[in-house]
Amino acid sequence: MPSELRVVKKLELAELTDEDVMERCALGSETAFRALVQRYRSRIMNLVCRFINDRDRAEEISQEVFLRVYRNRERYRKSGKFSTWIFTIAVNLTKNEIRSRVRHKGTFSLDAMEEDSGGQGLAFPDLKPLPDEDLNASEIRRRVAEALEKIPARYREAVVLRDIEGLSYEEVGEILRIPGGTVRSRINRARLMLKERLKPYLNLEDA
Amino acid sequence: MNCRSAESLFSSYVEDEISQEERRGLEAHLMGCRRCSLAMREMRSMVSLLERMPEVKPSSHFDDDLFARIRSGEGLRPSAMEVIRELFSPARLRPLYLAGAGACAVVLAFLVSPVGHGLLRTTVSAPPLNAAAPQIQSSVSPSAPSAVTAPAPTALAERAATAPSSTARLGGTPSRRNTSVVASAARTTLAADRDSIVDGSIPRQRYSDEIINDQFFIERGREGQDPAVVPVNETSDDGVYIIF
Repeated sequence: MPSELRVVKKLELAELTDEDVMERCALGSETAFRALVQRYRSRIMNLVCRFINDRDRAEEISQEVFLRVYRNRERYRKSGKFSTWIFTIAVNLTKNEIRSRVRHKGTFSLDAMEEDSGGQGLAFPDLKPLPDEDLNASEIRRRVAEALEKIPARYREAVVLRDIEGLSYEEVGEILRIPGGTVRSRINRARLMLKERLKPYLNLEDA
Repeated sequence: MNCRSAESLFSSYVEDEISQEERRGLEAHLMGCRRCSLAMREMRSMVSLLERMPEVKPSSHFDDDLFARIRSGEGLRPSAMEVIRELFSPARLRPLYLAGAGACAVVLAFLVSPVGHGLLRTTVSAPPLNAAAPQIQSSVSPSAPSAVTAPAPTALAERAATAPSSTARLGGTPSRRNTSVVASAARTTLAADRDSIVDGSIPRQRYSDEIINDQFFIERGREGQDPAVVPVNETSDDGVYIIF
């Protein structure tokens, strides 16, 4: 009987929306919290890792995101979209991480630092075009990750949320707390910057 | 349309989120501009490259590590370092900078205005106080001496005596405004201080709409719930009720 009961509960959770599961979590259900972790851990990890391009640190920050959700579970309002809430937490934590990296480098303006020095706070050397024959798919992906890391944070967060996480313009605006026009211009600017950095690796046959 | 305007529409064009008028203008420009035409193809390729980026998966011990951290108590309260970092975060300090800048702007605006300018000139050109007194008296007509002369000490004393009584009258009103709104305003600040990461990067004064007038105010949250712990969701109006 208890095992049957557990199966019924699992099915129920799988059918519930994120908001309903979070509501159960707020009422104290650890199973509901585990379900949310399962649903969102990859997306959060992907988002954070694309922001900071540091896998180990990204994993710690992603766990911190879920800790914040757990710690503030009673403050969640079902009227808001859960994905927007958790992505907002992830973006804010990642911004803190970027700020702290900049501070340790003794630079005050993150964007200025990134634009002037090409991302000195970051782990990889400058991009150098390689001959086409040396590039395979994973190498190109690494170049994209590096290029993302080197554009100013405000543009990077917009383009990662839109093009990598696949969120709508409205959701990006809600998460970053910026109006729709600003979202569009930041995404366009970010893509233009990336395009310039990745020019040698773009396959114009695709376009 | 020039190249700069065309470039600003690249993303919208690639995602087909562009008005008919803009589309026509952009396409006409692309027909005649090889540079922008190439840039547009590069933009398409760029977007496709980003969309094809594989997802970074968490490690196999992600869940175990997370729940170990929760069990260790990390999930229950923020660490001391976290609290300190929160308190002094740039986002938290930004309103203070803005308030300072706003105050400076108001003072500057006043000083450059005709009134402020006149006041400045008067202050700068005014002779010492002891010399100014007879001048003022002499410039005022004898029929209205009380308009500029200092109030009598007795009048000041009377005013001082009445002031506390009016304060007492306000404070003594047996309304819930003192007990509820004022108290909740203090708690609100505490709540806003608690975790700006969760609520958003810019801590704001919440519940500024609580006092509608002397009699009415709104508290957020469910009935009986402490309004200070209820996060404000600006896109929704549920959970708002009015206490008369």
